[in-house]
Amino acid sequence: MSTTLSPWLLPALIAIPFVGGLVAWYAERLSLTWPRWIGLLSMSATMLLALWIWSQADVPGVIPAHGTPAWLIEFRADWIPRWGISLHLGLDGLGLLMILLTGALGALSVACSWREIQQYVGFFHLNLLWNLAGVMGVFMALDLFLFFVFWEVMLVPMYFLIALWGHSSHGGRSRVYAATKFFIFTQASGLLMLVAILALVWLHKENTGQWSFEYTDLLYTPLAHWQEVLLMLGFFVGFAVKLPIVPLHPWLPDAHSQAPTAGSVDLAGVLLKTGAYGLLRFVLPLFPNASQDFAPVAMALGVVGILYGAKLALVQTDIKRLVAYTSVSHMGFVLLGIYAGSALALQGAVVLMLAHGLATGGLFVLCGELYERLHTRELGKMGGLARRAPHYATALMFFALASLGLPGLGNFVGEFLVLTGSFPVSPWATALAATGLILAAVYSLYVVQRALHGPAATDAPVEDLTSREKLMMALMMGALLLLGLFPQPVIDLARGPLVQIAYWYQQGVPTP
Amino acid sequence: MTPSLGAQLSAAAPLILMAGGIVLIMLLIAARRDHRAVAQLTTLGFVLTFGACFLAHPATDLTPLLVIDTYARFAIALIAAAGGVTVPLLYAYLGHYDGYREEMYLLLLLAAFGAMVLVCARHAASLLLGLETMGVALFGMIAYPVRRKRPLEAGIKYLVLSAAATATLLFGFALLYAATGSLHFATLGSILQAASAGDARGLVLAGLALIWAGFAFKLSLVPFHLWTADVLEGAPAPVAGFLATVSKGAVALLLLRWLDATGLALAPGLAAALAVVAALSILVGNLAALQHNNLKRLLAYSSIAHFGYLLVPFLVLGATAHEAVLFYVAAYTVMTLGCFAAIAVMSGSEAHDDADHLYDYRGLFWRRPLVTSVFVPMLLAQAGVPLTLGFLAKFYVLTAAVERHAWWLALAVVVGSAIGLYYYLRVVVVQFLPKPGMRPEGQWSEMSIASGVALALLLALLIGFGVWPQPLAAGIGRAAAALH
Repeated sequence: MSTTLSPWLLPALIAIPFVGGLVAWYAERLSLTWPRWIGLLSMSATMLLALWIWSQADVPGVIPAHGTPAWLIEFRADWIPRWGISLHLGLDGLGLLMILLTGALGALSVACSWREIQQYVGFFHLNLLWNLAGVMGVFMALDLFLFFVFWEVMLVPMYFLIALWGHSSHGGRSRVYAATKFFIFTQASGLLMLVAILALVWLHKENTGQWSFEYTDLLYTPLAHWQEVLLMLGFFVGFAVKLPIVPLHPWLPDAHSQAPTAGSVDLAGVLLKTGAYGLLRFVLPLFPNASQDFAPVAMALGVVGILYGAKLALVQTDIKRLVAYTSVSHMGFVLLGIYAGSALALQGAVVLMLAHGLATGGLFVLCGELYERLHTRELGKMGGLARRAPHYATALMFFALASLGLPGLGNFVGEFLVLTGSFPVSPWATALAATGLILAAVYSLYVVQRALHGPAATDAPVEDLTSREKLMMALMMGALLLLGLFPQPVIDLARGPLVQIAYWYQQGVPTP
Repeated sequence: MTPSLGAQLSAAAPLILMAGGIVLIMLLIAARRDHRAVAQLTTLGFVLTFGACFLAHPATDLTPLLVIDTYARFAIALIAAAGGVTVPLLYAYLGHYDGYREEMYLLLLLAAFGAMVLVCARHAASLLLGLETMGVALFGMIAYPVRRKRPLEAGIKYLVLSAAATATLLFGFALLYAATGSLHFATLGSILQAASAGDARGLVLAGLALIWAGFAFKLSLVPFHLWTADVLEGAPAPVAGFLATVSKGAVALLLLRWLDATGLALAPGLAAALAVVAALSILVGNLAALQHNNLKRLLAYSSIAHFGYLLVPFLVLGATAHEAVLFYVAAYTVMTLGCFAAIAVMSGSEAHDDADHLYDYRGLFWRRPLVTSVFVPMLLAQAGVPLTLGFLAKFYVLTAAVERHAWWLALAVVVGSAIGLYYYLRVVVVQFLPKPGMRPEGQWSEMSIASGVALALLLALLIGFGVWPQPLAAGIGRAAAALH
């Protein structure tokens, strides 16, 4: 029953990685293994806590469209009363799924750095865990100021992850360059969003005489159409950079390819999802009419992203860069689904977010492992891995198939729902988007063929997966299979909020 | 109604304490030179002054020249706090200085006293008195290590240019006096209104323009910014911190009083010109900072950009603008002082120059983690990262701009901040990069503990108020209300 769940669970979800990070930093003095275990434990603890909340919470199947959002757990405390800012956290089915994903991929990020990170281990885990704590906050914040704070807080540790533990590709750009580019893109767009938030809050104040950054207060702010359009654009740019949406994506390939494995997993698996989450949680409900008007553009951008990302993935020779561009392509589907706006499409987008997190996370881990073994990420210098490292090859094959949307794995469910949900809204865009699936098959199989088959570039023996790596891969594969074969519990968990958002998006937000 | 003498004296307690401290220290130095005792006494003076600001008083007029209200007390507290933090930094910095060290504290107290008079001023005469007391003392502080070339050069540069700016200001006041016959802020506004409608319009406008030019110099706004980088580069690091924060901050706080009296409505052209000045300061400051590898120059240009941001609430002057100015000055003081404090800790006043090159900071995190763990948050705060005062300051400024629909100014702030990220991050990341042959360095001593305390205090303020700003926000709300 939801009544038994303490509101303090929500700050705990943020505090566990936060404190874990501090402890891990300090524990470096004791031994280099301690920070790793502490990181793993704290991320597993958050994931288990989220699972426990799922098992205990009373998930409403339907939230009345006219009602206010229904939170499974809500936490509220005063923060800056002068501006009507409070520490207001809330968790619904959508947020819970994202928290679960964050916990799972967080644990994976720690596990995959076990051998890769040998320098400044404590400080590495501090940054990794603080980044994840910020992400947790983003998925729960219901006060727009607090949301923005978390939104920015997750950037700084990510900047350090890339800048300090990244790879400098030879002849290419340095990791510091990539990290700075990432930071400037996201921070500048974030400031635009801040201006939009402030404008919205100010309009609310003009109406009611009260300063408030409260999500549920701002939801019902009456806006003139032009105001709604401008504010929507401000928010949209902030989230579009994170997602990323095509003209705003240049930071992504650099950041991904220079980041350490954990950073890539974290970026692709979790950070990109904050953009999609922001669109779902804030843009559609706060500005339904403007979003409706903007939908054709957004859906077109989604389709462009799908095709452009896939096209660029096809011509990459750096395996990590290739995977990075596939993210752009997959996020195009998410964008398409979000702006199609039917309940079915939104559910598809959410399932796809989860599946993409797991599949791309897995692929990045595999890229990292490959780099540890071969010290190269060039596809041309691989080949023949299927013979040389059969377990590794199996795992890569599995995640490549997941990424191309093989039925039975999570991505298929997501993409299928997105396309089915979008078709009635925009048949042409959907049809074009579907061709992206063909390209996905091409680039995925291209990786498999170049890396695993054909003549080997060198005869040097390649170490196969260690038991730690096998365990990681097995868990990820299991999760993807579960999501592909039994997606219903996940869909049920998020149905309430998603149906409500879909209704708001189509009909506008009714005053309660 | 004139308040009783007792009420006046107790309201003026902060100023009296400061003045008394100055005399006391001067006598002490004359009797016996003792670096430690002088530093301790100076700290005590600042602490007492700071404490005296929290005694509640109604707004009290001291002669027609000064007024001590909540606003003034807030500003005095800020100046005293900044001065108090500067003392241990100077103490560590001057530890190995082979000349007379004690006069530096005397000059510091004098400069702080001038700044305090400035923020209480409600008359052009007291304004100039405060400004000059501060400026002359600062000149001495900048050129204090007289055997080094750069401080001397910087000191002379500051003296000449600052005097020129004061002269401009003075001439502006003279023109206003010719037009209105008044120099008192309270009456000036209404008389100006009348005068600018009549024949004296030219005089009034010329006077206002000259006064703003003088202020723009003191605030180092583009195009009156050329002195900033040279002077801050040349000045000893603790002095540079004090100069960049207190002298500019006090003028900004005074400007708010001045603006409330005269407004910008009289001269729409002036308002438009100032909007351009704000945008230019933001752009020029940030773009110039990109070019520099010298940390003090970089911070100097970043401070030009900061005052561009700060000019935004002055221009819109909406309901939250006063609070925005106060908050920004407070936040700017903490984070800029923090940056210069870190540089001061890394430098010493021996024969060679301060450690102000970017390379000096390479791998600092692995060599001196405590310095970095203060310096990096300070830089990130300047870049506007949340959970620090720097973010809240930007938040206040953007709120003030949005409230009055000043979209272009808000956009300038956003663009400027985006450019600024680049150079702040450069300084941040360099401290983590490995440096060949690095090993932990720096040892504990009385000097390093003193400056460590200052650093820790600044960090506590930066993060403490960044995470829990309500007490500061409430205090600033009260101080700003005193102006209306």
